[in-house]
Amino acid sequence: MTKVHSQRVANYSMEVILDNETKCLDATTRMVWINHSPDTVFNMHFYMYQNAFKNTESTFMISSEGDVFGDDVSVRPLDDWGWIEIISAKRGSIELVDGAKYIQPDDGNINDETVFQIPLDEPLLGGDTLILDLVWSEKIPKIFARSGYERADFYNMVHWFPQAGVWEEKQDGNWGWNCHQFHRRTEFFADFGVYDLKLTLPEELVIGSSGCILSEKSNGNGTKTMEMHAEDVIDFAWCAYPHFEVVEDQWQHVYIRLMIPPEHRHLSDRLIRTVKHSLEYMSANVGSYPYTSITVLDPPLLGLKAGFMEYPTYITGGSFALFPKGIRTLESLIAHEFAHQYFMAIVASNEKEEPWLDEGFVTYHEDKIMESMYGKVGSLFNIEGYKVSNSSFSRHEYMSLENPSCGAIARTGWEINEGFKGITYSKTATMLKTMEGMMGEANFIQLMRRYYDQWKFKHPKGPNFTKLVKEYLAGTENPNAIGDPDKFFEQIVYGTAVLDYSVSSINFYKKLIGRGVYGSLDNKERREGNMQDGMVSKVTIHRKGGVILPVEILFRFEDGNEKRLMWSGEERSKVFTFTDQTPIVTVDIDPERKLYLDINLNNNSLTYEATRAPALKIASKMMYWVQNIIQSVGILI
Amino acid sequence: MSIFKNILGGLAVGFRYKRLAVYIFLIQLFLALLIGVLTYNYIQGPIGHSTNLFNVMKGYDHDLFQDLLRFEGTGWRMIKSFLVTACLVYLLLGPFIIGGTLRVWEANDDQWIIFWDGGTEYFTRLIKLNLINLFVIGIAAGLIGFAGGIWTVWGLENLLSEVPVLIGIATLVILFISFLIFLIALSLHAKHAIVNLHSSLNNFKQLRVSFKSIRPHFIKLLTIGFLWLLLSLTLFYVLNFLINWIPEPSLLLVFIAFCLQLMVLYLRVCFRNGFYWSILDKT
Repeated sequence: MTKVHSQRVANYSMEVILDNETKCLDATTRMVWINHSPDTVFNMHFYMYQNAFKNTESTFMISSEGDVFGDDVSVRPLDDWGWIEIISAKRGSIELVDGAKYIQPDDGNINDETVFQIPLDEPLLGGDTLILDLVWSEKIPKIFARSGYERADFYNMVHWFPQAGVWEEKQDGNWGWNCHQFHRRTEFFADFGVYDLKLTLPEELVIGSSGCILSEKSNGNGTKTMEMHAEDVIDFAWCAYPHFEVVEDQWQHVYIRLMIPPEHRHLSDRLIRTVKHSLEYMSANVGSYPYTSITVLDPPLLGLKAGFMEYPTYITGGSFALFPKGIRTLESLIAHEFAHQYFMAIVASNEKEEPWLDEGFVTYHEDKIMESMYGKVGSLFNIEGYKVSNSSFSRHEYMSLENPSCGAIARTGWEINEGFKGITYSKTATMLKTMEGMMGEANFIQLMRRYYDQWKFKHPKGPNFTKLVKEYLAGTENPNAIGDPDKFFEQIVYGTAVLDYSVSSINFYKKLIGRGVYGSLDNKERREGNMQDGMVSKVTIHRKGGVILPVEILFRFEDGNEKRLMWSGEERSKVFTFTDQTPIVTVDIDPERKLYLDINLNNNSLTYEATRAPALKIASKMMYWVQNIIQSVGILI
Repeated sequence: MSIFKNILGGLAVGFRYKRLAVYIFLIQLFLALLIGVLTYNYIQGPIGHSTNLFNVMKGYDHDLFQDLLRFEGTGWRMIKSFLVTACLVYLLLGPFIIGGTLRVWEANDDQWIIFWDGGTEYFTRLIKLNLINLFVIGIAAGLIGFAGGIWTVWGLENLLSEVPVLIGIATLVILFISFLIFLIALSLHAKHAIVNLHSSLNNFKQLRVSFKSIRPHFIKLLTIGFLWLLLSLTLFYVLNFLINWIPEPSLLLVFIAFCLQLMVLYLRVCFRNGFYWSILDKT
């Protein structure tokens, strides 16, 4: 790449030797770090995330409660743990490591060694550049949370080197470090920069990495040295395995490199096709992909714990041989991790403090990618006529939580105890789909494009997004498309209430006028009245949830006429009364299903006369399957 | 060639005794109907007035069913427990059905009274025999499952690829099906001896005698069993595809699909009878 996209605050040149026998790294790093702030820096903060896997006292392990993604740490052999240590940190010829120490900015857990503070010999003034030479070593753990090795020399090296935190402006206007400890559910926040890695390792290992591979040279002693390079990225990851097959492809300016074990080779078309489609969709609807490569790791089953993850220009999937075609979780996962290239790697929000800004946005775009690829019905599952779309599945993950009000979307990642997936990923995605419905798809795509353009290669926060929405809507034909934007986000992002509108009843009666006794005491007149003047229909609508959003209601009359009204949703209960020639027979709240966040869509409508055909259809299907089951069971005896 | 003739003979018998197939079909239909009515009420009660329900006419609607389960979960749990009960009732009726079937074939007459006589005369003995069968199936399933589990855990921990693990599991499944076919043949032979030959041997002795009798035909039985399995699965998938292919946007088309479903199920009963006849004929 020649174009400079970012400020390139933190730049790393690393020389690393992998000892395949001992599973250790010996390394040096020259870090060039630029103080772009007006403030003075007195010390540097580094992520030392491999130390999360050092012992059971790390904050990561404590919050994992003895179980790391199904791995029982109580039976893990001692050789399988890992750690990282900075042996030397020199600024010029001055050694700084003596005054260095581990700090614990989040929880004060003194046993946690995932953040390292190195005091500077002289303060670094605003605009100055720091050159720091680090010597460090690492014992690679057997895979913990995607990072480490597995038997048969499979490596996935992530969170693997000392990396600077982010020097940022705080809310009070002062500058300071944002360098959180490693918690179980949060991983990313770093500055953009250029990475150069010179890696020496056994010759038989096949490598995939962030960025691109510049050269590969045999050392004549069974090892080789590879040079890798990445620009304008916030992190760098690599993988190695002697049995990888490399599938290469190209999409416009992007070189696609798939690292896949031979037993999964038959899945490579599905994976490559998804990457290409993701590139196509995101480029067309969010913004152009600025990098020239994307590497996809499809780990062998023995390394599956390395899967399901995203790093800049490098993503990891998860599959097994003979993965059924109708189950598209394989593709959906790749679409998800690829979308992280936009929301995490390029629009680099703080995933630790505001995970919804990347996981939620990514889930929304994962759904969009899949539905544009396979259609809106059955994009995720298409098995024997049973079709489930991605957005429906996302909504399901949210509304089927035991308590959908268990927490707000905007929560600090490590403080989430309940509903992490259901709220952070799925409720956010469903909220964005609701915004899309209310604003219109074209408007929403424009909004996303503007968000991307404004915040690419920067670190946006939640309020930056909500402010952008307000500004964007103010310039459209319908500035109130989502009601009051502040109120919208206050309720849905920062609040915990749910949205649930329902039609409670339809009643009608004949309108009768002019019947009874009229006139004075002496001059009474009796009138029969006219019962043919029309019908009075009363419809009762309830707002069962706490969320108030403006909503459209469709009233359909017996003669086929329709009326559409907007309701603010302010009242808990509202009675709509109509006088017409014919009664109301159907009421539909939000007939176009724009408010996808509504946790019960079945109560959004009511017909006066019940319809029987659908229930009969379901019952007949049920009978069919029951009889099949009975027959199959019966064959045994 | 004899196997081919045997299967053709089975198909001919399966379709010849139409009333026999109807009896079995109606018993199954009755049990399924109870669940069908429950399901209808489960849907119609809470959301029968919702326009959302119309989406079902276009196909499966995940939102609709998830919302229904979320807010009306109790009714669904009742349907599931009733389904288990229906399966148990059918298992209980199994001896009656197989006894009746064997007697109909013996008498070459599928009148209800003959079916009834065959089903009721040795009902208790056949139930005991079925319990032995189920016990053996349970043991075999446990052993195969255990072996599969050990193989899977070992394979995933020691092999580079999951392919040998999948092959191993597929092999165990084939072994289990082979065992089931043999067990069905054994049980059928014993039941035939009891119902039609009025064997006075106790169940265990009868099973031993039957075992000796069918052992020489082991390979042929497996071949017939697998061919029938293949035939049934093909029929099921083809017809199921046809059912899914029919659009059901109106009550009339729902009714047509329902009739087609009943036809498929009736055909399956005929195939079941044909399969049993083939197995018995070969032993």
